[in-house]
Amino acid sequence: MRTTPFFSDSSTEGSEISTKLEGITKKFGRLTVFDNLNLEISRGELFSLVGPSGSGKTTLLRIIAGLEIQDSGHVYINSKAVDGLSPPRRNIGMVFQDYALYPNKTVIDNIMSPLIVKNVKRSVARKEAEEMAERLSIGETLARKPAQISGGQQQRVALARALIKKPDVFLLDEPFSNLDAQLRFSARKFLKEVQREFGITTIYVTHDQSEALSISDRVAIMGGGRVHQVGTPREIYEAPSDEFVAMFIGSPPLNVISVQVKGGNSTPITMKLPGVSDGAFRVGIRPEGVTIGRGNNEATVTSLEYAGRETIVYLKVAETEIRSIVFDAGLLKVGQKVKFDVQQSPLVLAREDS
Amino acid sequence: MSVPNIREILSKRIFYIPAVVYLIIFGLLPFGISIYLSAPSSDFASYVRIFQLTNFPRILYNTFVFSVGTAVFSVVIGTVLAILVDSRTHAKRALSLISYLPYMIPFTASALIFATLYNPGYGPIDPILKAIGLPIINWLGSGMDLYSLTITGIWATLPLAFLITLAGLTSVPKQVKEASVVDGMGMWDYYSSEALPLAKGAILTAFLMTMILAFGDFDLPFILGGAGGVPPTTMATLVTFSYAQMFYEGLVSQGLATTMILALIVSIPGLLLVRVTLGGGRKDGGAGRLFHLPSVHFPSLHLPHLPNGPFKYLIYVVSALVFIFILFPIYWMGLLAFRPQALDYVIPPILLPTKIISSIFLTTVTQATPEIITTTAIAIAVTALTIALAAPAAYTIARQGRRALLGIIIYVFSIPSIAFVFGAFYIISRLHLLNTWWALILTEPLFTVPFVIWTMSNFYNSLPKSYEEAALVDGYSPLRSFFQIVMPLARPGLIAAAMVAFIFAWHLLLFPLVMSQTPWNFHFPPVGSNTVTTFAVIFDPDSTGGSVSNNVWVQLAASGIILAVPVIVLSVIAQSYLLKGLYSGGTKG
Ligand SMILES: Nc1ncnc2c1ncn2[C@@H]1O[C@H](COP(=O)(O)OP(=O)(O)O)[C@@H](O)[C@H]1O
Ligand SMILES: [Mg+2]
Repeated sequence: MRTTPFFSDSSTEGSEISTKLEGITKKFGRLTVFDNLNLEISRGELFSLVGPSGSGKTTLLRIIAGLEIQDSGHVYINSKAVDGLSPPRRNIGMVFQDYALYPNKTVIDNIMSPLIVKNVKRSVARKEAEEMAERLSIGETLARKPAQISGGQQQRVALARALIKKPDVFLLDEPFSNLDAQLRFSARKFLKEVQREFGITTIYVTHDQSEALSISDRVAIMGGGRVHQVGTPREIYEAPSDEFVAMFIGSPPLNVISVQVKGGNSTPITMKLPGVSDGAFRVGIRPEGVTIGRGNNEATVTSLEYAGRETIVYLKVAETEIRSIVFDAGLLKVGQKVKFDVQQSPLVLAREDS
Repeated sequence: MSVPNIREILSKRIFYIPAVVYLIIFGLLPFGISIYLSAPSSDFASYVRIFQLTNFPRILYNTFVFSVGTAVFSVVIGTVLAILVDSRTHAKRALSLISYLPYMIPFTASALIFATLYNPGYGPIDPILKAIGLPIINWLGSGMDLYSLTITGIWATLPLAFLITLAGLTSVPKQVKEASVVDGMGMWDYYSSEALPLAKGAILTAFLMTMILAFGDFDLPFILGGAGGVPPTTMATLVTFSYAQMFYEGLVSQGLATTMILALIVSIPGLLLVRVTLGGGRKDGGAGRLFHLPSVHFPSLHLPHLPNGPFKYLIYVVSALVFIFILFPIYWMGLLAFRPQALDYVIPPILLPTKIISSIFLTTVTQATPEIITTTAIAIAVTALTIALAAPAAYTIARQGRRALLGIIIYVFSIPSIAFVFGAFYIISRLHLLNTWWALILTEPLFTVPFVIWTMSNFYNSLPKSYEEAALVDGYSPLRSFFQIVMPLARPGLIAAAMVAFIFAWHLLLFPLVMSQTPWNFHFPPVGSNTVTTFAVIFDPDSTGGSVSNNVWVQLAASGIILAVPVIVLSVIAQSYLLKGLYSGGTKG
């Protein structure tokens, strides 16, 4: 792959922030989607908005694009306020959830169309579109209509159409949700490569936390009308800022349980809780941090979920149930008594007795 | 910072301004003229005089019997047929084709055929009644003619009720249907507890539409009432009564006052239709598409329990009888058109084809050539004008959610054409365009534009918005996006709408009757704008005068077939276009 920069950065020299959202509030009738939301997206990064369905990801993306108008607050792109600018004047590229390829136009006409409407000469537009198609490996589909190419190819055409105008920001709304699982993996990798190669600031919306973690430079976790946490995938995974994030990230989800700590010992499950004083706490334990075989705790196996490579084992300790991931569960049986240990330090999420 | 983009704002309005301007000039203005001339001395003497007429209560009564009777029976029969088609897994297409066959026969042709069916002596119904031991009925006699008219109305409008109700039944979610199968529901259980309650909105819409159609209908009562002169009081409706007053008796203000009273009466179902269609404040708007109708919330139906098995057979038996009712007049029309004239006037009438000839049919086609050319040319021009005005307006209504505008459009659609005709006649005569093609090209879109705006706005509602948003992000201006992105996507809908507009224009009888005097003279600019409908009605080779039923039947039937054939062809094509639906691909990988 070529590594020549495709986008000139001259207009925005000196600023590290590409897109800034300041105090965004948006209501649909009585429903408040966000209240005073703030976000900063750095230049050249792949930034994901992730959250459960209905958390306002699409709405936020559409506000950045100018397809939806915020009730209050400001959107800045390259330090310039773009509130009140119509979408075409914001110089953004967008890939829609359903691609929205113009069904009556051929692939090449689809890719060219943003240039044609800017009155770029047809021959020039054509050449650029062909180059772009070549870079995205869809060169052989150019004469066909969108309905005559595969889902993966449609998706690349949508990327090409969005990229050809050299946008300042590239917006994608769940672009892979219509692809099957196999294609989704290669499409993700491809997007990451394209994004790197083009060095383009990308805002990516998904409800799939594992997808967000795997491709993003940084992630914002959205839910309940606000941003819960912004950070690198590692920060989010290892240090969730609250129970919402902790529960949302990781599959199978985090075990969140209540424990009593007294004199360095915890009940009902014994675990290392360095630097925690006495009291009652909500703590989170990653399923992969629970190792079965030996340890200070004893539990009953209540259920086994075979998932191919690993098995999810449900353990019951007193009245508490937790999940563990085991890679070789061949000998475990439901009803069996086992010993287990909590190996990773649990996340202390909240104090319960105050 | 936020630059108000005047061009953008203007280019959005541009979409509906032409349609609104047209409707003001050729709708509001004629209507206003009609109101003005109905009470020229600014007292309401003409209105008072109408109510003093001794036969006026009878005419009001006739109007209600005809309209309400037509609507009730059309909806009941249409619902039975819709249940039949919806419940079948095989032969669905054939059964629905039969059910909407009368829809393809223009009202003018239907009325002409029924006039021959009802003929005392030569009509074919009497021998059938006699054969099954029933008394002979004097169909056009003074006790019976109103009911004969209503039967014709039912025949002509039941397909509309069928189509709308079927759309309601088929819009029941597939899962609901499957769940009912899994639960072992029988046919009555399913329709009474699931499908009909969900299709209530559609059924109500069907009722209102057929009633509005019947209230305003000119063709059937005019032709069955003798196609000229003053119709018999026993079967005159407000429409034919006011027509006779305006154009035969020279009582213009009285006739206009009658049309205004009619408009006021029709406003009730008209406004109800607006309410049902706009569906009590839902945001998606205009759910009342002709092809997928809304489910409206009103008190639930409490249907008595019927056993499933007998219900099924009841539906089958009723449907079979209705099919005979639907098919016989069409068969009779074909029979008359293609047999020697001598076989028409024998007692007892001959019901089976004995000798088939096509020479009279072909002679009639030749005689009607100027009318066929005129009607085709006018219908094409009306279609083009309609699409040009209505498609952009419908788009704005769908995308900008202009529900008030849609409400007004539907209301305009419900106002009978008789309320506009004198004003339009007045405008056209002032423009010195009477008896020219222009007269009809300019005035007929008044009926097609509202209907196409209504149905197209539903079509646009069903188009995914993301194409236009992608176009917007790509930098398309609203106008450019409409012409280059939306219009190509909307092609199936546009073609269907164009065919509907063509059929409408091809059908119309009242306006040509008033604005035209002679057949086309084969010169340009065209003078002479008689249409096939007027040809069929005033065709009278023997100059026997008087009622249509004195015309030569074979030519009557032949002109009926000439009227029907293009409509049948277009309906079939439009249907397949509608079935093809939207383009696949592009969205949802
Ligand atoms: N045009 C709209 N009108 C009314 N409510 C809307 C509209 N668009 C989105 N919503 C509501 O706003 C919330 C956020 O929606 P959305 O941004 O689509 O969430 P996500 O993309 O995270 O699933 C949802 O509750 C949705 O129903
Ligand atoms: Mg979304």
